[in-house]
Amino acid sequence: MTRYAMSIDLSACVGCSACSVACTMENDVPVGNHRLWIRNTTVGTFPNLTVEFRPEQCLHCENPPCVPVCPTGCCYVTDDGIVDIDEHQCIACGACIAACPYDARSMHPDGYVTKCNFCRHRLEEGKLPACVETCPTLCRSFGDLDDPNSAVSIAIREADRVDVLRPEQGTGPNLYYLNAPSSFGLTSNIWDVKHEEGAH
Amino acid sequence: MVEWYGLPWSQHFWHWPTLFHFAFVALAGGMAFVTMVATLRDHPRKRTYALITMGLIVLDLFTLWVESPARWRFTHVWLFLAFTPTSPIWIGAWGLITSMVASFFVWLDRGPRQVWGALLVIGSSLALVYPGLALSVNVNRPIWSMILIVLFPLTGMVTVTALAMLFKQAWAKAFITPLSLASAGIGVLYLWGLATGVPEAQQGFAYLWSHGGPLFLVGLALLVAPAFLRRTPLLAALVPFVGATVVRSLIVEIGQHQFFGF
Amino acid sequence: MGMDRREFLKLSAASVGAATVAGQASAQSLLDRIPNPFAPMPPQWFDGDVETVYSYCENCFWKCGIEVKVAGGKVRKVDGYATNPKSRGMLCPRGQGAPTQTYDPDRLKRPLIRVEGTERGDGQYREASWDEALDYIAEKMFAIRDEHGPESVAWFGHGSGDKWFASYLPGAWGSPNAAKPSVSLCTGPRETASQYTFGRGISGHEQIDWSETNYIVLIGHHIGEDTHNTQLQDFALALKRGAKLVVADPRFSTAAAKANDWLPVKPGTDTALLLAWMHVLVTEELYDAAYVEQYTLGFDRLVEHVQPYTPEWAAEITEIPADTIRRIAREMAEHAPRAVIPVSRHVVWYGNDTQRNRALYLVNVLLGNYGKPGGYYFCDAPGVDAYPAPDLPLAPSSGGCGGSTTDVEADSPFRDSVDRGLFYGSATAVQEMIPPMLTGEPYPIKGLFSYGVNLFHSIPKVDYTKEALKQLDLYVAIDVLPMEHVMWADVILPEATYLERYDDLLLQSYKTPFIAGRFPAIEAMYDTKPGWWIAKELGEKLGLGEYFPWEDMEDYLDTRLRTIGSDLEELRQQGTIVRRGRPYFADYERFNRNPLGTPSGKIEIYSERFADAGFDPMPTYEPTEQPPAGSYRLLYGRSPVHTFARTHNNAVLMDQHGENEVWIATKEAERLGVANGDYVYLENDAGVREGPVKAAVTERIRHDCVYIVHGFGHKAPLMRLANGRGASDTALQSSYTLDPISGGAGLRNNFVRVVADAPNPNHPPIKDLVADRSPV
Ligand code: SF4
Ligand code: SF4
Ligand code: SF4
Repeated sequence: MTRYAMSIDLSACVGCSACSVACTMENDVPVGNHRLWIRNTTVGTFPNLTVEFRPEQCLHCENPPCVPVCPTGCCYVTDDGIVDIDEHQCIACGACIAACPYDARSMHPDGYVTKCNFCRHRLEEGKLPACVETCPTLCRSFGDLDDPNSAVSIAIREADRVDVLRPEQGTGPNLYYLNAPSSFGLTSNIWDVKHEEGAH
Repeated sequence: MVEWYGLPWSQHFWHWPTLFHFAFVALAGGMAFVTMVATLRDHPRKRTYALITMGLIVLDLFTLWVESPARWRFTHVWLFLAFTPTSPIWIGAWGLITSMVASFFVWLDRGPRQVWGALLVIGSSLALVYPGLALSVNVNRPIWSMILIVLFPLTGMVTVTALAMLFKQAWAKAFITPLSLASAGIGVLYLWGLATGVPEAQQGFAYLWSHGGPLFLVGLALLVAPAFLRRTPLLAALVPFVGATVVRSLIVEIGQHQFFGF
Repeated sequence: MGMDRREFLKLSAASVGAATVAGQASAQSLLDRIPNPFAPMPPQWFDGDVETVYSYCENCFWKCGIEVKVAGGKVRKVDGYATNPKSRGMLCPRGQGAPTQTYDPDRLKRPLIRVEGTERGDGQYREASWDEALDYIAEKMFAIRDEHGPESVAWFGHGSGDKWFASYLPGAWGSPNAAKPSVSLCTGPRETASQYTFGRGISGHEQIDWSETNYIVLIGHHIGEDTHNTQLQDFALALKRGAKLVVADPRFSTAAAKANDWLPVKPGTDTALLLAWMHVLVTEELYDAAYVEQYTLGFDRLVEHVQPYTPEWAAEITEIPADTIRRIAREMAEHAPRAVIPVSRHVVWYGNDTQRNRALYLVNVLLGNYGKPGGYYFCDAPGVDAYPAPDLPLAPSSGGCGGSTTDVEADSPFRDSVDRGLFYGSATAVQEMIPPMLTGEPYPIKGLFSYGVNLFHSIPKVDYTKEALKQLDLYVAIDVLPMEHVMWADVILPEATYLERYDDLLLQSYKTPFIAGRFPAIEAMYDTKPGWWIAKELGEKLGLGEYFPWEDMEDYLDTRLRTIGSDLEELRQQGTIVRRGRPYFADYERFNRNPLGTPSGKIEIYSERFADAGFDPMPTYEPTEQPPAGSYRLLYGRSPVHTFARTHNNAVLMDQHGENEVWIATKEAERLGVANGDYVYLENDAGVREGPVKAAVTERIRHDCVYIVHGFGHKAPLMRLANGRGASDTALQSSYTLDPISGGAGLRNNFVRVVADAPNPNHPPIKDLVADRSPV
């Protein structure tokens, strides 16, 4: 079976946002919505600094809290592990937006919820998701986790460090962050970062 | 320093009209509960109550429709064509529609009263419970803690009882004080739970506190007030009504924050 | 009534028919408008037929090859493609978002002529036909020529079409006063330094052999914030291969965040750092002796010259510890020749820039990397003959980024350019074309063409420029957007965007030189025209028709391509034609040829020519002016999603980054009482105040400088998204330090104060400013 996943090598990512803009154009994402955005967080004090460049998007959780709360069943998981939305059944109630721990879902101005779906239409044509294809630092890998030779499997295997976002939420993300630059892993939220900054 | 290119959707997804929904659904669910009791007991005013229940449900659904970004897409039929029992909103939708149908027959005064009563038991409890449930399932938003599953039905009943008092329903007087006091008690428990909970919950408490703490306390105080207002039924009804609505609204509004965005 | 019955019947039948059709149509559309919850979503653009057109990107001038996806008559997406050496299938954010500009409702739509009797800057225009607009221009130009001579028309250009407006047309017309901001406001000094050291320029694509290098030292080079696509790819791949990275920058830049060592060098002291590295390499005999022996001239003089520049000396100046300086020099030597200090773009910093870049080259030379794998490779543009046309009366004079220019011959009937003699090099300096508009010295400039050059966001001393513009007899702006400077012009000519037009061939110097074509993906919107068309039409009106013998651009391109045995159709199918390059010395030596173009045929460590002209023959350190107490040096740089000041009305890109922030060191901000996210003003000594601009209080910058991203702070009400957001660094550059060698305008000797407590301008979100939230 296919289990699609993505990895982003944070040691290479420069936070340039090419992925985000490519996503917007490819998926006709309205101005003001983002399926993918970049968070660049600085940790430390001069001159001992670390900057984490972190693109964020739907993590296609193994155990997606957004799906069971959907009252119409329009949020679903494909056989390939992609968490997708059948927009024309969406009633825009916002339950899934509330449930997502990563703010990955947004309300389309036409009255339905929208988010990253790994560019399913491109996968069907045998292409990579738009963000992966365009990334000028080649820090994104995509593929089938069940295939040990897929780009994503190899990237994860070869990484010195693998993290997922908010693991305490028990969502089982399928987006892996590789080689996070800070010694403590991913910067989790602004409260922690303040704390870290103070600690230095 | 955090720099953003593009932003996550960490803005509020529910806006002020939603607060009206949370107020009306409390009244609708509570009224269905009252109708249920009246039906089972064959209370003389059961038909009036049933009519009011229907009115409140319609009002609530109308608010939902008005605030819905999918207003003109009529996709709401999918609520009733899908089977998604894990979704509190689906549960609530069925709770409301069941209450609606049962109330209709009660109002017509046709058919087996016991069956309508039984349906109303289910419908009203689902309708009363689901708002709190819909919030507390979001474990990612710490302000929406588990206690809301109790707090929301209770405060819902406070509002409907207060309404009944305003319309001089004799039975209401007996219930307003215990319901309000129970709500206030659970409300205190809720705050205490947040303040002493896991770090996330404590962040939630701090956030709730800084964004509406005093108002929340006022809300709780108003819920305690009926105990001291026995002589003035008008106030004894209005004051806890406001208190319950304030507490509910603050939780819905402020609780949308999760400590991950920007 | 003169209508006969039959006619009447016919008419009424027709009208009944029409009414029925209309009735059906409205019933139909009414039905359509009732949403059907069971209907699938309307199709996405990629569900139907998608046509692919090859082109190259124009959102910055790196010019990556793109595939343009057209669906339903609209450009929906651009992608890179694998066979193009610049995109290799990838694009940067600006390239990805570029199509949004084509659909920007604020675009210039038809030719405009300033209403007679209004002042420049009043912004009162009337619409005109192309014919009228071009006639108007021609008439004024003849008048200028009659009174002052053809040289009194200056031509500024930037972008793919600048060939026409900053080289070809001025050459045909007879004005040497053609200039590009990409020279004296950007790369001029590095080009001059390279010419006088190696006898070759740096190509528009910096010729760094990223894929072979193992040790990289960046000095003020903002890779990552500057998202030049291929460079970013190469940089990332080099790091992934394990190349070591050192970044010297007063700011913890994106590149610094990836570095093994960050040297927070004091601004303005880079040359001292470079000299100390030379000192270590020379005195510790770490340099590549064989290379120096074989390829260079004047090394013994350098040995002597660098003696005083000890790391201890440099440590005092640069505030980088001496052992760090020493260690880095040794590490470079260890990795040499696969260790490189890449030259950057925008090198006009402090006025001593040619010498600083020479110092940078010389360190590379000591490492023996120039012309060797892992250092600087050689590249030439692929040769394609020009279209057969009569020789221009005056050789094109603005040069490329490469900046090479031709002097006006002594026996030429034309006067030399107005900036001749102000500096040593032969390039034209755009900022030096402004004063003659006001002073008339050495002769007046009376006419100005600005093709895509943002006069108020690139040339320092903006107020002075505005005064100068008022003195002109003719000012023509050719642009896509109603930029502030455009709305000062007498005639505004709206250009078609890169997706709507042909352009000349892209002949790219590169490790594998290549030819890329630009093909229109859609018809030009509104009444806009491509640059080549405007140039040809105007040329004809100026009586210069003989220099434009081609029918149209298809004829022009096809004819040129046939000289290399290809044709337009082939390029249309392929997009890019790649040639073999000769990247290293070995590739020349095999044929007994020498790629070095200096008079001596060697790398000139010691420059006789500089010595003769009275300049230091080898680089020295000159201290730069320091900020007065209470002021900060104003540094500026790039946002990864923006280019120059050109992309700030692009809804998609502005939605990514909608205003610039001023970086202030935490301690300084505390002292000033400024909190992160507060709004402040920036104010310089000349009394220019910019802002309100948001403060980013950060640990990522030294205490003695502040930093903003360039290109924001537009004052152009017709650009609804750009207008009034952030602060303009150019506006704060009320002075510059002229590089006496290259003519570059050193821009980093400008100092600003931070004024706290500016009002929050409460910018509405970009989405609220666009009517249609679709990205295209
Ligand atoms: S395109 Fe690549 S480098 Fe740029 S932000 Fe996205 S993942 Fe990072
Ligand atoms: S990231 Fe959010 S939207 Fe995506 S699957 Fe997980 S919970 Fe759902
Ligand atoms: S680097 Fe980016 S903006 Fe520049 S040409 Fe390439 S894709 Fe276009």
